Amino acid sequence: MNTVSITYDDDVVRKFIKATMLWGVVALLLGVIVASQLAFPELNLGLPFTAYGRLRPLHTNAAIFAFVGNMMFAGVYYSTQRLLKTPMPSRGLSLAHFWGWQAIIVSAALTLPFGFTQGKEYAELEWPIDLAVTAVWVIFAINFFWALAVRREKNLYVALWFYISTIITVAVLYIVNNLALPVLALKSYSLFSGVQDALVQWWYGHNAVAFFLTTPILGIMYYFMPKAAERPVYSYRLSIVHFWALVFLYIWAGPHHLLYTALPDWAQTLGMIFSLMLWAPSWGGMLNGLLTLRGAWGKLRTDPVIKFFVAGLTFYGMSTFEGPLLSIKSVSALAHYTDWIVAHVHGGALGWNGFMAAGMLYWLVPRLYGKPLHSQSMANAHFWMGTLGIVIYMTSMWVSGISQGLMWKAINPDGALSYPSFIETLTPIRPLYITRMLGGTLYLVGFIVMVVNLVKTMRAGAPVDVTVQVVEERVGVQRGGARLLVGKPVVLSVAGLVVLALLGVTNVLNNVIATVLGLALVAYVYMTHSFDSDEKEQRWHQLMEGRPLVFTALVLIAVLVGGVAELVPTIVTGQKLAEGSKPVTPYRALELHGRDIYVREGCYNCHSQMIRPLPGDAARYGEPSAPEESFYDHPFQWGSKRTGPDLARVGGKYPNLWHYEHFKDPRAISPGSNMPGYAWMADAPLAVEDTVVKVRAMKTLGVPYTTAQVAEANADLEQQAREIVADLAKGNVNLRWDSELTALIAYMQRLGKPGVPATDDKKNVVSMQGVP
Amino acid sequence: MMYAWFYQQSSVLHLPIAALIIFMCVFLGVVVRVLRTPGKNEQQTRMASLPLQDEPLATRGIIGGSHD
Repeated sequence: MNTVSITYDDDVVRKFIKATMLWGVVALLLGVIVASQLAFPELNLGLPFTAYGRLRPLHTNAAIFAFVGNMMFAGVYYSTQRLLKTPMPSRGLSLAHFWGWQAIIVSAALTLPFGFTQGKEYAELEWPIDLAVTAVWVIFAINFFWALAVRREKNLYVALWFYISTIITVAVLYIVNNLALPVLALKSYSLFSGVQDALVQWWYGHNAVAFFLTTPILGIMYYFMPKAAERPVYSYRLSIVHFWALVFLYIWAGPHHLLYTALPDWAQTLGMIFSLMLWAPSWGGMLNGLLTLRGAWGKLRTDPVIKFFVAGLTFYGMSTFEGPLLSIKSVSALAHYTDWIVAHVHGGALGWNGFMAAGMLYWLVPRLYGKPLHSQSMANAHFWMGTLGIVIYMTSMWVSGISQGLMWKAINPDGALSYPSFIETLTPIRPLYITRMLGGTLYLVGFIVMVVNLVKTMRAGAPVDVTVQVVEERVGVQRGGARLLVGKPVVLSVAGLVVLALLGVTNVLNNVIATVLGLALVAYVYMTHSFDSDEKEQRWHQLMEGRPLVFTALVLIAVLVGGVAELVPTIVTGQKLAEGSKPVTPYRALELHGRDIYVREGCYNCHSQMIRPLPGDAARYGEPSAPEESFYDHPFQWGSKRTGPDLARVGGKYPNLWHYEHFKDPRAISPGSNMPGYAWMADAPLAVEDTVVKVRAMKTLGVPYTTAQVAEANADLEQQAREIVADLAKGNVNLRWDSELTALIAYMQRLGKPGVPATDDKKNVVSMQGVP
Repeated sequence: MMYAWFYQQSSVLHLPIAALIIFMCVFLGVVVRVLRTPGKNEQQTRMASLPLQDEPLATRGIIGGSHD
């Protein structure tokens, strides 16, 4: 048997590790800054690029794509080469991937603070950067699948399945959710609007958590946990159940972000039920990871790697318990839009992602630099600071969130709200915002201690290029893949889904129930047959593990089923005006500009535009939001958090002068408010020259502007703006008509109103007939 | 109060919940069966040990040492 000497390309791993440490500090520091701004709003500094609405997306993008992204790539590159017994096939592609990804992060850091955003959470990056992300992701995919093609290990280990699902699914999610019409060099409008946009966004948003923050880290766990424990994974067969159930179920759960909104009920219920189902595979995976430590629990006392992995897995278990809990409609009624969600998200991000990253880095750096860890004491200090930081953070946000939810819905015996002013629900939780800030700071300090420890380890050693002897056995293309596609598990699954689809077509009402029952049946048949004592059936999955193409195809099908089932009906049916609904006219040109400013400033980070059919919401904000109210919203701005009040019906609630004074100095009008001031906006000139381009782009997207409205857009803009400044002049306020603040006030006054036709009623009424 | 209001609005809620309970029971049943089924599959045992095979001896146990 011939053996060959191979040297792994760990240089790219070292590069990604350094980037992980750098961007980890940046992401956490930004988190502390935005948390401080919520506690002490003066820290917004009154400048455009330091306002919370612009910095919060920078924090989330840095945490997800820069910190976890680089950590994930480091783990993937290190483990893939070893599991396939081949170095990465192209050093050029690896470097292009690394430098391309860093360039994207820098682009985000340069654009988001300056307000270039698509206005969709975790998908804020504008279209040129989206194109770059796609290109770099393709480079990563080519490099990875090329390595699979030249592998020396026939079967793919479970970690690689999770990497495959990540690469495939993130590509699908990112492309679909970022479909947009470019309007300017760094400005685009989402192809979807209203309900459709909301569903697509949260299908993406939830699965960014699933397939960017979870599946690759699970793959890393399946590789590094056995290494750290020096034991094989507890149950390989359980990992098969874990993998397939997770990738199939996760994709359906997105609508749980939209419970009690204008999204159709059937989609909300599907989202809730599938979220609950996720409990099972998530905990299956967590237990599989923890039980890998069987007989080695003593290491927990001495090995920082094991400490971080065990704590990370425990936080994963906690988050995946809390997530389904929050997806139950009655729990969501209390928790949605509150800080409880913030606690949940940070349990996952700091506990699961942050601690798994730390465990992996503490394991990798000494090996990649040929030196023992500089200081175990520092690693232990990091562990306890991190753990305490998370506990302080989450506890304060739990208390804050539940308090908010209870105060928002509290109603006196006479039917009036107990806390009629929103500010009354904000000031009591301010001490908790300060506590959260301290918890986050403690976590950041712990992270910096890790960075110092790792840098000292690196400096004490030198890069080590690992060379190993492997059996020279090119696997090549495995035949018989097509036969696997018609194996019993696949046929049974497809048959079950076809029956369910038919049920769905014939009886929409029972679709949800039938789907759940059917899936339970399919899961039962699939799993029991896959793991039957019959050797033939056991071999089916093993055969598939040796055929990456077939495996990838089945993963793609598994993740597409949920997406197609939820998105296609919503998009194909289109948005129709319900019988008896109020007609809605498109935004006037000035309002459209104002809306773009609202999106640019990231107002959706703190304000929702979606009144739920709940007593507390109705008493505070008015009748529930209807789908047609966001017909023309490219992108939708329903939001996911209420640090400030809902704005869906704010139009006409206050005079123009109130808005003017409030934007200039929020605390002068609402003492106790933590909103940033926007005094600078009064002097910022409106980009009037872009008006026609923007209105025309909206018309292209299906908003029923007439040709005359497009042509007269500038004149209409000036007319509406002059009306607003004339009204302000009555209060001795002198605001220029072509300021950004004028446009933002116009948009505020439009929210919740059917709109005033720009030219004549007839034209707009006719236009409404053509609503897509 | 909130729950009473919610259930009033959802007359068929018990059906998906019943279905969910069935799913959870089936899933947990399968997991238990998977973990308790006797017999070792050689290939699976080898695959499960794959992460332990790739490290050259020289770098093993390096984490155990420390300057302090």
